[in-house]
Order: sequence, then structure tokens, then C-alpha cells
Amino acid sequence: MRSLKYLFVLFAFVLLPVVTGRAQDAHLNFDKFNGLETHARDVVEVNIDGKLLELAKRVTAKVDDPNAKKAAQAISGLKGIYVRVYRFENENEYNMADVDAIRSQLNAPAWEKLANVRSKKNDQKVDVYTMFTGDIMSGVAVVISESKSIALVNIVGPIDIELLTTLSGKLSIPDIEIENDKGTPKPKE
Amino acid sequence: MMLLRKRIFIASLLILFVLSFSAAAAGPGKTSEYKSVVRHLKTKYRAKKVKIPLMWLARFAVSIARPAGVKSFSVTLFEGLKFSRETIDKEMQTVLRSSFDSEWSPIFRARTAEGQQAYMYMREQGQNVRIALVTIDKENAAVIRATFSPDKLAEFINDPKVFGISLNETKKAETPAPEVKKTEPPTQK
Repeated sequence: MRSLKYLFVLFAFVLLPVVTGRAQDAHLNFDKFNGLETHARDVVEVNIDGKLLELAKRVTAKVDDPNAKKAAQAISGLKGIYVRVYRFENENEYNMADVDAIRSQLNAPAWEKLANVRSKKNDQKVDVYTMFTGDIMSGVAVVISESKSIALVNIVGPIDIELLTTLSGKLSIPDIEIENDKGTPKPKE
Repeated sequence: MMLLRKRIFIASLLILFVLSFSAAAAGPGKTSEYKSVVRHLKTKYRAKKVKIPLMWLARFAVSIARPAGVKSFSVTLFEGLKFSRETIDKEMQTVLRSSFDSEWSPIFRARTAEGQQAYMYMREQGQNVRIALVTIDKENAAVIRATFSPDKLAEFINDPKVFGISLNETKKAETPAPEVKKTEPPTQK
């Protein structure tokens, strides 16, 4: 009986990190997009994780450039960047249920909707979700759906937004104009 | 006796030279996964291999000079591919999945309705990184493999040199000197 108790404790210790790890992971399940894939005219799939990310960190950390160093710092904690883009021949050709399946993952309590934009032009819908672990942003998901296309961007791992804004307009990162505390736009360098 | 020894010595030197040369030319690019993709393109889509003149010399030069940390590469071009646009993506994915083992990570995949496909895989091998790229554009295809050192790539970014010739200096020489604003002498009142 005692050995069974020890076995249970051991089992709990082994299983707990797995369960909590999964619960805190911001990596979305893209299998739900298989339905979109079959009907899509054009498909783009990008998976930057594990070894490639480690490689990018290694190279950027060694490059003697202050911006590269900042970029290395910005991606140092990242676990993955995933992008899916599906374009369709005709309007509303895709099944909305497939997109809702992704959105339902983002309705989990760990995710928080940061912004949603609805535009009548091309029936565009943009939803930005964030996941926080304590005070640190541990994931971002952006779902963009239009009448003829759907795009999903999923970033997994701690993201330093302040650091990213300092890199805007450099190293091929798009210029992000974010107002600072004084209410004046960030000056372009 | 002396003459025989001399001949043996020269012959062994020649054998060594030929062996090292062929090893450098073949490189680690010609492995099973590379071959199986090439075989698939040839047999399934009846693709005809396009001969690239002096490719052996380019590969030999790269294996010696190692520009941007590239240690070896292989390029195989095809023309006259005959395939169904509806099924090629699935067929290619199946072949790539069976050819590239779990050590390889799929990084990028894109397909368009016009019959353009691109697939990129990556794996780490000790201190090196191996990249495989397969592109299909209508009836043409290219299978590219390269092995490079990320550390050497970072060194190259910091100080771009090929055969000891700095590319930075040529860049400096090409860029025109900055205009010097002429300061007008202060006017006397």
C-alpha cells in the first residue's frame, strides 16, 4: 500500500510539469486548418521553432551590430513563430466553422482578446489575442480573416514588446509607430 | 628501386588528391533524402535533368573558399515536369515526409494554384546546419542542398571576406563619399 502511495507521488511529480506545461503553452493546434487547406487556392506555411530559432539566436548574438544584439535579445526567449496563410478563389469559399475552431482555442481562459477590428472592406476581421504567464507575455495570436483569405500568426514564448518597438523600422522589421508616454509618436531613426 | 618508390609515392599522392577532390565535390549533399526527392521528380513527373556547366568547379571552389560559412552545396535542375496541379502538393508532401526523417524540420511550404511549389527543410549536424530546398515552377524544378556553419556565417556577416578579399572594402569603394556641406564664411557686420 505504501509503495502504491510512493508510486502515486512519483507519478504526480512526473505528470505535473507535463500538464502545467501544456496548459501554459501558447502553441495553437493547426490541425483544425486542414479543412481550409483542401479548398485553398494558395497556401503558405511557416514554422520557425526549435533548431531554427536556436540557430537564429546563435547567429544574431554573434553579429557585431547593436540592432542584431537587440533582435537576439528579443527572440532569446521565443519558442516558436508559426504562420498560416490561405487564399481562396472565390469569396466566402471557406468554411467559417474551420476558423471558429481556431478561435475557440483562443477562447480558453489563458488567452485574452487584446483587440478586434472589423472592416466592411473585404469583410475583414482582425483579432489579436495575448497569453500572459504572470506579468510576462508568453504568447500572441493574430487571426485575420477576409472574404477571400485567412491568415494566422502564432508566436510562442515571452515577448518583450518594448524591445520590439525599439527595433521597428530596422532589420526588415516593419516600422511600428507607437505613441510614447508624452503622447508624441516615436521618432523615426 | 628508388624509381619504383618514387612512382608509388606519386601514385598515392594522385589517389589521395582524386579522393579528396571527389569527396569535396560529392559532399554531404548526396544523401538518401536528396536522392529520393530527385528520383521522385524524375520518375513520377518524368522530369529531365538540366546539366549545369562547370557546376563541379563551383562546388569545389565553395568547398575551399567556404563563403558565408557554406561548406558544400548541391543543385539539381529539372525541366519538362508533367504533373497534376490538384495532386502535386499532396504527393510532394508525402515524398518529403518519407524522405526527410525526424531530424529534419519543415520550415516553409508554399503552393499556388498556378503550379508553383516551394518546400524547405532544415537540420542540425554537429556544428553545421543543413538546408534542403525544393522548388517547382510550372514545368521546371530545382532541388538545392547546402551545408553551412552558423558560426562562420556570423563571422562573415561581421567581416565579409571571400578568399581573403574583404567585401566591405569594395562596398566602401562603391559607395560615393558623403557630400560635405560648404560652410559660408561669417559675414562681417
